[in-house]
Amino acid sequence: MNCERIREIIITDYADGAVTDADARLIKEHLSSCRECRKFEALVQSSTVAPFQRLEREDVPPGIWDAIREQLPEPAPGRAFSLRAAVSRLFFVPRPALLALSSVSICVAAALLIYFHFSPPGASGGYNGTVQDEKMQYMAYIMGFSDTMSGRNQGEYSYIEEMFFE
Amino acid sequence: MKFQLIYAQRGKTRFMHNNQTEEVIARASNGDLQAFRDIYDAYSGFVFNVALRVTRHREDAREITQEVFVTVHNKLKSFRYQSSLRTWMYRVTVNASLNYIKKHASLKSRTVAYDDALGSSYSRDYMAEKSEREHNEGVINRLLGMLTPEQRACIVLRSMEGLSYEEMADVLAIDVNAVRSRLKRAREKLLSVRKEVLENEL
Ligand SMILES: [Zn+2]
Repeated sequence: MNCERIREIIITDYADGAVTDADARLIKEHLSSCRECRKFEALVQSSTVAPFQRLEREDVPPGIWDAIREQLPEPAPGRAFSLRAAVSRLFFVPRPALLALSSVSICVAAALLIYFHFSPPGASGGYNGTVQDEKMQYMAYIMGFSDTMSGRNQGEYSYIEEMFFE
Repeated sequence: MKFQLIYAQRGKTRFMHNNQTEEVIARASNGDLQAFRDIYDAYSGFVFNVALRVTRHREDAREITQEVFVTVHNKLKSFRYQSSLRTWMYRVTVNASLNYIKKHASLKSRTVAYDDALGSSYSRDYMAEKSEREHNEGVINRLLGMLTPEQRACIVLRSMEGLSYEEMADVLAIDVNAVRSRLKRAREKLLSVRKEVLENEL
């Protein structure tokens, strides 16, 4: 092999320790007798390989993970899970607002109770007692629902959630 | 399936069992945030550092790292294990870095400012006080600055990240001989500019 071919290997596979044992022997033999190629080999190591190998990795700056998380889409795993999460989000009410909402709904319920109780039987069209009871139950349900939202354990589904699961 | 997740954090290299990795990927692709966090912890080190050396700018590297993980998260479901996650992550990182440079090529002034900050603008006294590590850092940045982004990627993958020619061929989507000739040209360029760079640094 001539010097040119030797240097081609030195600057690639030889510098990267990727030559076969036989090639390595050939090159070392050449280097022991060729001063110019020896200089070239030393230069390749010191200027194009070693400085980069010595370079330490920098630590990943803080805050990147948070920025990534913000850009990820909402998790959409199993159907049941996502529906439950979606429903919970849909009906999520912050605590102070919940208090206000509860008192308002109690007043509304009381007003409705008084209205249905004291209105004459014929006044509300075709409504009979049973329909009125159902209405009342429904009102209670809505209120009960909003109560269970605040202190519900895992595994207990609310009425609206069950509608999605069955 | 041949596949392994490699933890490479500051010299420590740890292999995870194949099935464990597939499980982590499967969970992450199903929206398990903790599983995706595990992937981030395992790979963010090399993603950030490859981006940093290819772009030579910390803010760029930060943006690219975010972009890479958002892309990977969104494509994890279609990951078919033909290559290792590691190889795939390197590929996404290199492509994102090269695209970033192309997109921001017009903002050349910024690169110049960075060169100055890490290179010739230091006074002689300050240079004397600089640690060897900082000195090496400055030389490296100037040397890398002399290369094309594609050549930088080659040097970074080979000498900093220690990828084999075969792995580099996978990452860069070129054949092994093309890897070899790119490395050769990059190193010849480094040899031809080293005097100039060293004189600037000292
Ligand atoms: Zn020779």
